[in-house]
Amino acid sequence: MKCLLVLLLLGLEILPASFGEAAALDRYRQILLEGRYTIEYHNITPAERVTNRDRVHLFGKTGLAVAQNDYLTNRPRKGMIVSRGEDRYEEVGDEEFAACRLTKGGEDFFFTKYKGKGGYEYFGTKKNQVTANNRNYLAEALEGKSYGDEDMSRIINALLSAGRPQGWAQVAAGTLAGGVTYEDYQGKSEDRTQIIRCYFTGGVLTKIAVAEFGADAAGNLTGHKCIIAVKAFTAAPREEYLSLPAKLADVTKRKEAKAK
Amino acid sequence: MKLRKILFAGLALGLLLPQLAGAAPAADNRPACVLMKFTDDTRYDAIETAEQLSELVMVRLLDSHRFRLMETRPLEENMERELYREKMQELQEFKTAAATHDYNALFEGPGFRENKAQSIATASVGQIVTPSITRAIGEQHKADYLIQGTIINMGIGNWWNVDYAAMSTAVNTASALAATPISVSLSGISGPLGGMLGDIEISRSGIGIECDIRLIKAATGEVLWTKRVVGLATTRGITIGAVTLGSARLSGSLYRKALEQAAGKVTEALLADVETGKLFLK
Repeated sequence: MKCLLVLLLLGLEILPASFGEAAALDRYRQILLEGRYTIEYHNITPAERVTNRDRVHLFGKTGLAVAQNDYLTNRPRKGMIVSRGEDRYEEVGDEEFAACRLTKGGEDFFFTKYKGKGGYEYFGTKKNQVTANNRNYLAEALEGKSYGDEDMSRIINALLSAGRPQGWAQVAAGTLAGGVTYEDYQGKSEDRTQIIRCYFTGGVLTKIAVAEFGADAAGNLTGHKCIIAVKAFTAAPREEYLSLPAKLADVTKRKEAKAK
Repeated sequence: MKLRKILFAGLALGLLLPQLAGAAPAADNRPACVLMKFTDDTRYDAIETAEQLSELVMVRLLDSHRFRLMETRPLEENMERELYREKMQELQEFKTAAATHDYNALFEGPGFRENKAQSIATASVGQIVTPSITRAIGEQHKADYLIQGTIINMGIGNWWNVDYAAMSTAVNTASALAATPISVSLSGISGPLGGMLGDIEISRSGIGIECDIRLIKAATGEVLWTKRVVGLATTRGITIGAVTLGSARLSGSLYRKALEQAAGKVTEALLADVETGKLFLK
């Protein structure tokens, strides 16, 4: 009888340790909500482009247009997101080439950079020049904010909705060999299910593995997996990325300028 | 007379035999390879570009004499189909993990190792394509290496321009279009120049075929080398009033030319890195 009581008490002790305490991921969710951060990641297993039907997109989308970029198609890629309130910078590419977006003052600047002989060269509307586009608030409202490529955008938007009916719910936590801890989450949106494992080394988020599946329109089981290696996720925005590179001139003809 | 002929033939044979024995071919140290039929990730796979491109590459590789090809035809083994079976099994594992809330077998299993290729199309250097599949192909054909390619894009337009400057502009425009309502992005397409140049029309069209080529070590499934190439065929037509010079119409011969270009570039890429020793490092 005593043994049963001890076991019961032990069980009550163990449960809060697993699920009652704040999850390690909560810290990162809080950083995102505060809107001041730098995230650097590698998408090790980007999904392949199945067809090239995705070249025309009428309604706008979040995420940089990676699928329309032949250089980045089917290649592992690196990403960076820097945020300071409404000002944001996103970058997806590799050592040689990257597609970039700077959002500042309600405007989007799309440009690309590639490694030339004397450091990075920049192209906007033409070499060393860029023109602003209106920020697409509609796409953001429909699909959530963009966080680099589509895989990372999907993961971060799901992470932000954790705890809500459509968001991630924690299902387990534990420790692996070598002291790496993990938290397991599950999410469901429409007919798709995502299962997620977040890895922490010394409490620092180092990797996110996602398996996503569901039935397509014909009822066939489809899905894909994704591994994101998190290289940095801090509450300190890298300020140098929140303005246009020195080589790149803003040549936008704005209404205020015309009025003068 | 007849006897003399026989004696002469015998003498000649006797003289030649030692030379023939000395001329026995030296052991071929070139690694044994097979060329897999290309896979086609475009929506035009019904026109069998993969078959034609594989054949064209095969002919060029045989002509080069730089590879010990164990088969003289591209292998029909469909690695994608084998991998698809594996993927379907993996999807069932996703479902089981979701139902049981036990993710250990899935996330700590071989399918989620960081160097496991997501698919054959995305397999990059250092990643592993399922070894049981590559090993079986290698053993069946006595080959150490598999040369495999994927057609990732085919079509008209200017997407194939790998010049960074042109590509950057195209990408930035695509990004801007993707993030801008279409009514805004289409404004200003027909500017005043359209009317001024109404009598002179210069049209340019072309077909591009973009593909990745990779070398896989059969025993381990490791991708040792990859290159991305674009085969391109363009044509131009100029119309001044009623007179037309050239033709910008797309045609079968243009498609064929693009195929030849792609096959040439694939072979060039392979041969260039054989010369510099970047291939067959392991």
